[in-house]
Amino acid sequence: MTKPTQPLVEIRVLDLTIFWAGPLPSAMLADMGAEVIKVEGPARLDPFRAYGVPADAPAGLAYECSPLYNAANRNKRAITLNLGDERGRSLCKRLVAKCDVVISNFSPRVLPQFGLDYEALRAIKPSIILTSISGFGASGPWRDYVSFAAIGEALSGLSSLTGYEGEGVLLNGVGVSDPFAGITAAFATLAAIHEMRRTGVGRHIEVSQLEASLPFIADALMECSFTGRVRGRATNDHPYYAPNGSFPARGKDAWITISIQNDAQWQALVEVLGRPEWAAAPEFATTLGRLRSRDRIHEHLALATAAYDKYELTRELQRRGVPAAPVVYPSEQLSSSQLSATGFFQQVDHPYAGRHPYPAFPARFDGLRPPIKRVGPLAGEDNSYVFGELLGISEDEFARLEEAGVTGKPRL
Amino acid sequence: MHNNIALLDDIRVLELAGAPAQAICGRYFADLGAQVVMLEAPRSGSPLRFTGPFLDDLPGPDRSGLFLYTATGKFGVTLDYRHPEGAAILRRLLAQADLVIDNGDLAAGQVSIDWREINPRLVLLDLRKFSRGGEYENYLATELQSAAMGGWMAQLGEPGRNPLITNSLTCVSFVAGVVGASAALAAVMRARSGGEGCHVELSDHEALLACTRYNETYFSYTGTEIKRCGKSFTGWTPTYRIFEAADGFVSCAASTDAQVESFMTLAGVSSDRFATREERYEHGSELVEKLNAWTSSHSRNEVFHQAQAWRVPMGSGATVDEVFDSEQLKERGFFDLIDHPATGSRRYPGVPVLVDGRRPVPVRRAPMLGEHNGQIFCDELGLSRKELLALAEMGVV
Repeated sequence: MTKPTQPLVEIRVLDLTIFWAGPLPSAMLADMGAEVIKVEGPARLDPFRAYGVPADAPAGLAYECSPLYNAANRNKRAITLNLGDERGRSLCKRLVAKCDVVISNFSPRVLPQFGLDYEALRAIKPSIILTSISGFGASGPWRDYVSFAAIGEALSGLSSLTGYEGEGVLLNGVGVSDPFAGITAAFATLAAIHEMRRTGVGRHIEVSQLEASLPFIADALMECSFTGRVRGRATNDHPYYAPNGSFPARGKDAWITISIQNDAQWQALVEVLGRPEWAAAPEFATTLGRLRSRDRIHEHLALATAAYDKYELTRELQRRGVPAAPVVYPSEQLSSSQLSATGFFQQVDHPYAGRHPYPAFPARFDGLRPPIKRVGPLAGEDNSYVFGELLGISEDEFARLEEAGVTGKPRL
Repeated sequence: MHNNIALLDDIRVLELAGAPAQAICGRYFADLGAQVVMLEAPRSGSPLRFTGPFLDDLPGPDRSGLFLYTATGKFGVTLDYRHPEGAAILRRLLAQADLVIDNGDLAAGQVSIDWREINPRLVLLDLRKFSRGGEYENYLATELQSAAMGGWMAQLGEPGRNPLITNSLTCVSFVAGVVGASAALAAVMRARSGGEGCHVELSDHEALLACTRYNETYFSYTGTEIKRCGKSFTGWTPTYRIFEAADGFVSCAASTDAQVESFMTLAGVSSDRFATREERYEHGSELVEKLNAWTSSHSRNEVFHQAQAWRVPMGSGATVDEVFDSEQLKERGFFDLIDHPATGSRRYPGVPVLVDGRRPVPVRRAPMLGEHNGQIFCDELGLSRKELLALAEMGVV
């Protein structure tokens, strides 16, 4: 029987994705045991490889040392194959016949240009599932427009909700429309695999960044639909939690979030702060009073919290039933006792980048975390397995293909 | 290709009504054809029925936009499973289910039901604020605390000022629900292919962290802390940012050299001092100022379409009402128009997936409280109408 952490061991995925929105769902499938084969052109590697490379990366191997590429492609295999070449396309089609799923986040016109549109894939293998992730989808006036996370966010209305009250729009630094598209595509792909196992028939799944982002701001969209009101930016204000926000703590750029949902939590907060005089104002004792005085409370609170360590104050408030949490920076995440207890970050060796922590799949199955078996496959690392073992290509033939630039070592 | 696009129509899901994460998880299963039965507390219902936004700002159990959106496509029954008669019914429902989306009551032992014994192939999805086993296990969290610890707030706001979340609670709270849908479905597939059921556990905290751009790994490689950066993004090109437009804002994601150079050409910015990637980083703020002078003298849509014609990733900054009228979303039939007796016909966000070029349409509007009690309890489980009435008077359904 398959391990609980590896429910997808019998699935093979051909991964034609770059940057983040596409590699994320194929990494999720790989984490859960699928064999994912990432395809890069020998002269056109995943552009994500260019970002975040440390200055001391080994000469000529900078493209193997991107933290972003190496994390986003954990647990995958990698081959090089030039889809611009007829021989490359023909090998790709032979690979499709060995796979259950093809995932792509090229813009909608690219796969048809390569003769790899869904109809062509189905002719090779009727049960194949094609998942296409793009900015705007394969139809409509914007179908050929280019998109990265910030674009989906602007056009979905999400950016208009992002910033301080009464001020301009800020960038949501997470780049949320990439993971929103990615996690939506992962679920829809799994649904198609589930169905294919019963019926033997494949599907074309299509996810756009713009559309995938919209359910995530459903509260703002439904507010507009149900009241006509157009929500905008509001710092961190909440319809009825007051106070609610991030407040300075002791130290450089240290912040703590506090949300007061009821009167008991307010009283607990006041006690933890040592019953300061300002907090005794009778109008602060009730939720409606605190909502009316929200700005004044926020000003007082910001001065009061500044004396405390954000972790200690969090512990004290949580002990008394008050939702509070530090704003945690990346370096601090790595030393979080919570995350080390749950095994969220895993230390993995990489031949050129060294040993570093990577976030694992976020769910646990019967208490077990899916392992990160390897990170950021090297360009073409699995050429011999894929072309030799899977496709049965001889070493001589492979040498000829490499000579012709169809596969082989990166040519940058 | 076949006509039916209900990919999951052989999967039965029980959802114990709880937080937005549970609700959106059930909705995504229903969108792709699963039979999703939502269990609500008798007489009071799901807590989301009392969470805004409300129709015309008047609260009421069938007027919450958040509830009506997330409950669309589901069956609704009421059941007090803490009552022995209710627990007996829950056992029978669990025996027939593939997946139960827990609100904490089963996994935390709030009801004494051994779900594994009842149905060895059952998958239980346990969506929590923080994962079990660490010091935060029982910490309380609103969306703000989840985003603070999950690495999202660190990346939003002006440097030196207070960190922010986007003004949408679903933007944070839905993430674990959608990630959890994948983990749960994979576990159901394993159970179906001769395996056992599984306890799938996932927290808001770790789901959010898994959806940041690997900032911790980035820190480990480079020593650079990715922090909030106002209108731009630490560690990326200076042109990946918000620009002003004459009538609002645009968002630009010019990242590759070719994209940045095209944008400069379009905006008439000479390559003096900005000829190479290194120069553009070095004189980043000057470059941004020149580009901004061009964008701010054009409308959002002019900048958007002209830039896209040059293959520069650019987006017009839409307000929430404008999204409903987006020419792209209209053409692709994204929004649903759903009629409900309490609200009339209203527009809802649609299913964010096309299957063989077609968009799944919800098969039913959100249920009224206990609307499907007769169908599920009598027609499917075989309770008599008399028994149902007795249970109703007892407050069990």
